[in-house]
Amino acid sequence: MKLNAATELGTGKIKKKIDRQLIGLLIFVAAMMVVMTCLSESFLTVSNLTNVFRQSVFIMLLGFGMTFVLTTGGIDLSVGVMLALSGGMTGWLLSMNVNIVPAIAAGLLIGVLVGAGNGLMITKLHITPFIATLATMSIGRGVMYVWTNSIPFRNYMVGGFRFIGQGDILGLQFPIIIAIVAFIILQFVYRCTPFGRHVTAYGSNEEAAKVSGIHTDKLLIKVYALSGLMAAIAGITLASRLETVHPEMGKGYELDAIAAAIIGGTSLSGGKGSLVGTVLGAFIIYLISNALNLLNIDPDWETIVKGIIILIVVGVEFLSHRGKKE
Amino acid sequence: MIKKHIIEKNTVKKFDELGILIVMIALFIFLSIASPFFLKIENIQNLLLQSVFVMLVGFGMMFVLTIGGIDLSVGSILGYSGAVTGMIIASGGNIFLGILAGLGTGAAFGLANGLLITKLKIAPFLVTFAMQSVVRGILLLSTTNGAVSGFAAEEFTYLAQGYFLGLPIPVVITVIVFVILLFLFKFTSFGRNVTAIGSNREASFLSGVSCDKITIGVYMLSGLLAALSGILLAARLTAVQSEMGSGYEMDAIAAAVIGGTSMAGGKGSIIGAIIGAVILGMISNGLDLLSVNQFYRQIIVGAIIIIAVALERFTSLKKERV
Amino acid sequence: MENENRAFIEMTGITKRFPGVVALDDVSLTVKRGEAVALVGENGAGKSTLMKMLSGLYHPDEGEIRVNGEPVSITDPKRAQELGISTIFQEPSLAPHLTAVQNIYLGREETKGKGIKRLNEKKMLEETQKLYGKFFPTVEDVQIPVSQLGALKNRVIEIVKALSIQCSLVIMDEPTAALAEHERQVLFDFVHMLKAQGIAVIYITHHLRELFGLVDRIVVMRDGKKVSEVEPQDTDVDDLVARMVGRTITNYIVKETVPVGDEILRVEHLTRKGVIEDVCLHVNRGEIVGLAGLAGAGRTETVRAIVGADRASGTVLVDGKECRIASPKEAILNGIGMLPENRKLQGAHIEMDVKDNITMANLREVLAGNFILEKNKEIKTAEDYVQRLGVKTPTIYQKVKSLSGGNQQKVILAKWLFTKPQVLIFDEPTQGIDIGAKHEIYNLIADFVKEGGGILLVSSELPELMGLADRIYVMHQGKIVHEFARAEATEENITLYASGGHES
Repeated sequence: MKLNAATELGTGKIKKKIDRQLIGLLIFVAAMMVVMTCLSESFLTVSNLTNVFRQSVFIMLLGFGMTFVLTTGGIDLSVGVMLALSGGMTGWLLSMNVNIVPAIAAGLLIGVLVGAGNGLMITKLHITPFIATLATMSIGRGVMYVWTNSIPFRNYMVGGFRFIGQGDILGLQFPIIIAIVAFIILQFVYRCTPFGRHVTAYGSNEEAAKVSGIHTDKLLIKVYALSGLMAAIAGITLASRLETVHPEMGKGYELDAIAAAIIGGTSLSGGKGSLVGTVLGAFIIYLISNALNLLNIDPDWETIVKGIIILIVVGVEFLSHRGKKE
Repeated sequence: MIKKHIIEKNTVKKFDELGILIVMIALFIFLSIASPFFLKIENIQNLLLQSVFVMLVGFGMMFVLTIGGIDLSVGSILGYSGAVTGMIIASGGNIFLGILAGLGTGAAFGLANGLLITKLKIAPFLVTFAMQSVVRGILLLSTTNGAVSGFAAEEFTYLAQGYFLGLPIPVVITVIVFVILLFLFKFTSFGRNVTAIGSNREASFLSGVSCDKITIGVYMLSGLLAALSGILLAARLTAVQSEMGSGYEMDAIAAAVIGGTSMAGGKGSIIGAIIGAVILGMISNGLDLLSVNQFYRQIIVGAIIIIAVALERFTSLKKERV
Repeated sequence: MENENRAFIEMTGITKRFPGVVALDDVSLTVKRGEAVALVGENGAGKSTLMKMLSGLYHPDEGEIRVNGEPVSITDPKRAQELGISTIFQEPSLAPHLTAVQNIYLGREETKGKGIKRLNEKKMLEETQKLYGKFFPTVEDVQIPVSQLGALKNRVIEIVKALSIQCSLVIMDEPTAALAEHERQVLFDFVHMLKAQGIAVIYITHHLRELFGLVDRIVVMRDGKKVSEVEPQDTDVDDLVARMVGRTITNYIVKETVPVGDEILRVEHLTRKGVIEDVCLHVNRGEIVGLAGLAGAGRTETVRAIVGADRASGTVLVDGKECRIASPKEAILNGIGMLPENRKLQGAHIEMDVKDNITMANLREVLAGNFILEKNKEIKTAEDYVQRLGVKTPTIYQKVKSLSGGNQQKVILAKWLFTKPQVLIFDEPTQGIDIGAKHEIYNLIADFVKEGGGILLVSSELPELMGLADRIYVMHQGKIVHEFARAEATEENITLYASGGHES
């Protein structure tokens, strides 16, 4: 009897904690909906909200990978560039009349390889994730310019490829379906597989993971490769959507992806993450820019608002923690 | 036996920047041979001039990295501070006042960074990252109707385009700033405390070091130096575009890290930052002279950062094992 | 039955070199099934290095390891687990965000399903509860993050984790470090239980008294070599110490009586909600005042609050005058210094040199003007203190990292003496320091009170506390529950108050 009581108490506590974070976000979204509905007629429509969701898909995909990376206590600043490289690779191959399947496979492969490269630098050269991925970001962007020679890739839209970014199934846009499928798979991986458990353990206490016999180097390389894979999926989808790959494609996305994860309750210091939170985080970011847009506010405000929101979210987290301690 | 070992270690320590100095000299020799234009006075002047903007920001970054932080907002602060100075002068304001306002702007954003980091205990990377967005946004708003311009009064542009004893004025200013900062870093309690905090914040706090004040001071210094660089750049370009200074944080980090400043804090070198910035400048300059696409620069900078940091990690790991 | 007497582990001729040092020199060690062997020696004697060979973290340069008579190569922690060797490490090695169940199964989670393997949470939970039932009759919260549990519970989880691996040998590296006296007893019972089940135990500790009645054999190491191997009945603590340091140390602590002067520090009603409550104490000139209590009783929190490292309400009077102390800086200005608990994390700047460390807390003294460092003054100060305290360092430019624990502590003490304090607070000053250096620290403490200073000493080692202190306050659950004069204090009655036993 006592056992059951203790167990229930235990799980109850955990649930409460996660819920509070998510409830906070949901309240925020709800409040915004109410205010915006009053201010703009076109806000609370299915088409507008689906549109917001569709826009947020790319950040969401990057954010999923980022959630894994942040949970290990690392960071990946190169997601924007991996997105561009992968989209570029697929587009470039398609424009050279390569079949769509190998073209997409090559795009995905580039993402995975660059991501694994990050992982190798971090584990084998002992470079901090921040610097390693910052360097990759710089190198990758340089490669994009050299490769495209500043002229965007175009004319690669074959019929099948168009479907990835622009098609729909039963009225649901295909990018949204990709995001949903990715979410389900990754949520499973994060919560229900040894890999996900090890990711959390590593971020929580690296030493503990090591002495428990986990091959931490392999683990990290996989995590960064996963981040690369997610970036590649986002990149290929975006290439299909935009019908052009600009050398600057995906610039600044890393910040949005980090923001999405952090807003969603993933901890920058590792050991704690939430993919559901990341979905909400990405959605909120685009909801805000959508709102600014509908209110005819100068789009330049967007960057300011985004920055302030990040500060508020993290600041509030700190203050609530301090409140609890006292 | 032990003593000899120690002495060897100390000698190595004394010439910490030696390795990177050799790299710089090697690059210098390579470029002199590869391009007949490299050694021309105009080119050397140009090279120095190209380097100083990053160098100034790199000095600030070096302090920030040494205290165990990072400042990603310097590029935006650089841009906006230049714009503030430009706007004031363009609207008929006093040049001196304009410069002061620009510097004040930089210091104010640095202060905001420092306050958020120390009082709300938000990770420096995140604060300055958000600040980068905010400040860039403000600059975008102030340049909605096109770049800030019309401030090219001769007295102002002299700051960037004039010469003093054959040296471009910005280089002279940078040398002065360098001397001041070197003194500040090596010979004052402020410098000592910066290193101490970066080396072990908790121990410093318990030893009575005012960690918050010093940290705020360092971010203000970083903002101030970014502003100085921005003002000089504005004077040189005679117009401030909305994207001015974008990406400078990367170069500044690279300059500091190449020069031996540790990303983990507690170890920094101002002379190293100079060498780092000159190497970055030489890369740009060399690509120009050899008519190689400038796009390669980003790739090279990234690769250099990886090599520099990996070398530093490698040597310090090796030392730890001893 | 034959199994009983067979050696489980045989290490022969193990040698390990690190650049510049021979960490282990031709060491051999045999452990039989069901046998508990203690490994003792000063810091740096090579105990942990030897054990890391068995847990797969280091690999020997020379020598052979046999398990059950078969030569093996223990390549990584996983391999060690497979061989039936599990280790309880000195440093807590649990992931704080994970629950007990998740920690126990970390790295070898139970899975179900073919192809895609998913975690079998139910099975892991049931197995954990079974394990707990087998070894610890009390049921613990196994499903909340371990960061929310106390030190003992965390140790218990580590033990259960070590046992959940089908192991034949458990290595315990300083398992009692974070535990209080009565909690240690739980652990000792546990070692006996393991032996009864035929599991071998290697036990590393600095607390030599623990070993008697607990282990079957004691192996003494010094400077990377095995110097002797004795059975507990043939030795005692003094003999073991002599073997460890290679010479005889008599008179563990000598107490000099110093005339007690005026009151120098008075703390009144110090309260930090949920941590310490209404703590009142005072220290006189020439007096060493002890602060005893179990881990988590609020001793460290009390001294941190006194120097303003944590915010708390209450008043602090120095020399009869009330002081506002909101940060360690103000504490220093008022003549209070504190040597914190953790040397490497809180005490020293290990990456900086001896000179910088010594002047760190009182840079004002070596400034010319308001903020310019006067290097000559600094060098003179540092050399002066290095000489006075007998810090063993080649030069004052040596990084503190490369000094021994005892010398690091002396550098930290020098830093505080340079602030010219009236009161010095020591929080576990001799933890992890070898016996020779401990002695020197005790002498320095005695010198300080002889010159009219007052000392507040927090220590978990009762012999140390009783040997040095004139008076001892005992804390329990954030409150001071008793004050003993030197003559009244015994290990038994201090423990009684510290564990809350006086209440019942």
